[in-house]
Amino acid sequence: MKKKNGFTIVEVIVAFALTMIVVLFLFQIIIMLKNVYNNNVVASDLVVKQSNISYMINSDLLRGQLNFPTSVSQNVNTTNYKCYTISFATGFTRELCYDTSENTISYNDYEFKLVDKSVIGSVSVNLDGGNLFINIPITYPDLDGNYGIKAAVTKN
Amino acid sequence: MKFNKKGFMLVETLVVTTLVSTILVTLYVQFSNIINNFNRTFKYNSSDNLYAVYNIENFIRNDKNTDNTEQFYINLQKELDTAIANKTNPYHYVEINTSCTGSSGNVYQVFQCTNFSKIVNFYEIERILFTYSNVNFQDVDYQKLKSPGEDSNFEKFIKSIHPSTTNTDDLNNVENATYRLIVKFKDGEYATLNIIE
Repeated sequence: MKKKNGFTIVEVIVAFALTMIVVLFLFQIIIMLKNVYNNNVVASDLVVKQSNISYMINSDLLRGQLNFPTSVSQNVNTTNYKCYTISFATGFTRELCYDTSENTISYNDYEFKLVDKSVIGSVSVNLDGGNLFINIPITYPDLDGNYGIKAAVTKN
Repeated sequence: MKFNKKGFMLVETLVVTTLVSTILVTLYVQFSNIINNFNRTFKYNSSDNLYAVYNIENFIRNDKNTDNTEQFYINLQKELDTAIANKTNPYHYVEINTSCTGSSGNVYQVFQCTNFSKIVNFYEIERILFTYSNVNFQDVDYQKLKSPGEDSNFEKFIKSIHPSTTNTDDLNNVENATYRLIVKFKDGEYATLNIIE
């Protein structure tokens, strides 16, 4: 009579299949975590840049002397490099420039270099009914959402 | 009688399945928390959105009617206080109209709504709530702020807001309380600011 101490082929196959399912899920989790980590590094960098540029522009525009914007002109307009000059009633002017090939944004004397591969979208600087609206969309290919800058001087 | 011993017993299969399921559920719960916290970091109170709320605050505080006899911000405070005192408002907030469709219920429209609409559209704002800064949204009083049809992400954000005071006597006490703006953006981001008098 045969001894029955070993596994049957069915037991081995079922156990192997179960192990494979668990390993597959674990691998998916590891890949997901790797993506989260990588995205977190890039997103954190973008958010830090966004905060710095946003602070620079907003805190400047919210100062009393820059309450009344009077005109916006585009003084440099090449394929990759564009500049806007914003004039205020008090005689102050501010210059906002961006370079889509170098991924840089400059405001007055400050220049910020964005993360490589980030994309500066369609920038708009508009004066509408005494309100100044600055919109600089910034995206990153592997990330959802907009890491751009929105600043406004509102009048009422 | 001889049993067929070649396959698994039902109990063995159930035990293994339960173990595997438990491991997978535990992993899913742990890692979904990480993903949620990751998303929350970038969706709550980003600097750009806080400046947007600050701009909205500036607007409503300076908003007056054409002959300068009424101030929207003062009216808004009175509406919030009166409605809650008279128990005519089941929720502890009033809402600021983001378009020029007039005031109705507990939604109020600013005087210079055309200009306000431009700002709201620029920042892509969906809702603006005006409430007290010392409300503890994590306890049952949150229900007084909750409105019908509010989505669960907005609810989660509101519950994450810390009251402006830790003094238990002042918590949820609307007398002499300062105010707070809570803003929901169209892209699913949120921001809140205490209004410093």
